[in-house]
Amino acid sequence: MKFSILQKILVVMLIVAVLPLISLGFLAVNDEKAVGMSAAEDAKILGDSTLKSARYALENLGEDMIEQKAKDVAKQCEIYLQAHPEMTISDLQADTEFQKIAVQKVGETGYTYLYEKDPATIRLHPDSELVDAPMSDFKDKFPAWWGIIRPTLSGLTICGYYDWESSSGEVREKFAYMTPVEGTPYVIAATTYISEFSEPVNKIETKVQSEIDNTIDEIKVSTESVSTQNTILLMTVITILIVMVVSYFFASTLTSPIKRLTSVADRVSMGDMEDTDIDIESEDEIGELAESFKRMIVSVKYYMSKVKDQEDDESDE
Amino acid sequence: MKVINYFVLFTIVTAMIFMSGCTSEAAVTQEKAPAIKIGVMCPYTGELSTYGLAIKNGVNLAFEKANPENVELVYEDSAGSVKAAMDGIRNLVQEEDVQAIVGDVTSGSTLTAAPFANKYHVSLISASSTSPDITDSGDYIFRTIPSDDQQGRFASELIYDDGHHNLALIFTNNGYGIGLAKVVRESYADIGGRIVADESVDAGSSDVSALVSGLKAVNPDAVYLISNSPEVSAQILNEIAVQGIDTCLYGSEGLMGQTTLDIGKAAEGLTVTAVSSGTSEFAQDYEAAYGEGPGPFSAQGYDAALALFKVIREGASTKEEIKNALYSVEFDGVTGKVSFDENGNIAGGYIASTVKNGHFVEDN
Repeated sequence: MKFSILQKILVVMLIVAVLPLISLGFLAVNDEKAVGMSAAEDAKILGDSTLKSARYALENLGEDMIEQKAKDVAKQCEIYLQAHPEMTISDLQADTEFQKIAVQKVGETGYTYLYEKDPATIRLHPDSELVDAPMSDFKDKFPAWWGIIRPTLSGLTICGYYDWESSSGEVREKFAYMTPVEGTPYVIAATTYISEFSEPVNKIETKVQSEIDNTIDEIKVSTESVSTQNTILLMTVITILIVMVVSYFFASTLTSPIKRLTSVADRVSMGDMEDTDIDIESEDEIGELAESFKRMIVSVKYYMSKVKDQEDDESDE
Repeated sequence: MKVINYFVLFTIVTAMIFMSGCTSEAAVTQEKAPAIKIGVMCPYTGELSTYGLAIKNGVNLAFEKANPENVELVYEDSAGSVKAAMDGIRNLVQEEDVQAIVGDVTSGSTLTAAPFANKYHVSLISASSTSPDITDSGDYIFRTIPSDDQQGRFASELIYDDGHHNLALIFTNNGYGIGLAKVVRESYADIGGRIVADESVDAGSSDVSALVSGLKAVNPDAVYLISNSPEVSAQILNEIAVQGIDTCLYGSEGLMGQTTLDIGKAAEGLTVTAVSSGTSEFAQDYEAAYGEGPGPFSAQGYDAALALFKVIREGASTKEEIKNALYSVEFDGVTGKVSFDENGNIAGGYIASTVKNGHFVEDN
């Protein structure tokens, strides 16, 4: 296959100019997307950790409140029982004053209740159905609850979380703090659904999550949009056009004197010595070639005229 | 042809630039593996800080001695309340991302932390919680201190293995005595021994001579005295000496202490079962490091940390691997042989000491 100088120059310049442009464009689109996505990720992590801290702080506050309530109620029961050492458990169950002390409200959904260590039996509870219920009845259904209740039967203070099924059948996480009533066979438990405290955070969480999802979608749309890709395409086309024009003019400065020399050389070879002026003034290698050519033509003209003179002399003789 | 050469050259140069960029990025991300974090959760403030600090010192000493590679200790103050223990373990597992924890001090705190340890698969090794409830509080809960009910079994085996197959049991009539006597009664019978006398003593009872003379009739190989009352202990031991009953004397942990040595000659030869306070070498190292003798449970803290460092050195690095490895770990710690049974309880933990010339001397 034959390539002209113009074609060769064009191909080289296109490679040099367009290939980096396309690669850079490709990288730029990807980077823009990556930067956008990582910003969205950061925002998500920040949002999550803020919400986590907020939930933790609120639940911690709730836990502290429940702990304090359990301790207070246990102390109140201790004082009351010290003042009434003669009262049996059935006396206490019938005593409305003691009931008010042992069963108190904690927050919105919570309450305190009193149970006996041995046998493990609920003695005072806001739900009258649970009064005198053996606690081991629930150990299979609520193992996590039993896990924290059991050590309290040997007099330890324990707190912890467990899932509990409400009367409506909904299973939710409860926090409980159990502490013994000193000098008695009884333990006070304070318990409440912890979601009562973290509910505000859950609402914010939904909102923040949807905001972040929106942002991520926006980033995706903007980086994948036609406009960015079109800009790169347009720039590529313009570059190609510029390269073609520049290549054409650059190649012309090389090829036109060569073409001119070629036509002069052709005529000289045919013996046509008319119109052999070479007006090439460039200072480069082509200029030098043109100068050599001029000298060659002058030499050829000289020898040709010499030959002609000799022929004339011979015919005169 | 030249055009193709230019193109090839350009492509190679471009590719090299990109590759150098990529490799330098990869080199940056290839960092050292993060350290394995071990939490040390004890009360360092408040009324239980004596225990917390003694255990912390034990753990630190083990860290210096074992010098485990790539392990970082994270301290968490549980301030002696169960709520603080709950907050503490949550911080350790959720924020610090520890792979295992030494702690807590009280049984209540350990049992409060236990559900979280199990939930997040973090092994929790207590150096001082003795409640029997800890035995079945989950797969991730271990301890280097024996459960309260282990003393009874240890005593039964010790007495039986010493060649005494007829045992007289004397115990104080209180929670401590009744509870421990029950375990000894069952475990001694299980291994084939025979209880020939089973008597309780009320603290403050004036006359124990009838009780002791009753022993003569059954001629026991050994007597196990379960008492946390120094008066009762002294009365019984003196009466046995006075009546000249020829038997071997054993006592429960309640007899470990100066009050027993103060009894004098009647206590000579008495073997007491008690939790180890560490080897004498450990005591010297501890004193060299902290300028005072080991505190309560320092030795158990030391062994708890040593167990973790050992399994980590042997290749366990994830929470799960550490837990599994702990169940098969076995080494000679400063409290004796350290290994855990299927409930995470230390297999040994108790040692026998005998009164010789007015001093407790550890049996070998």
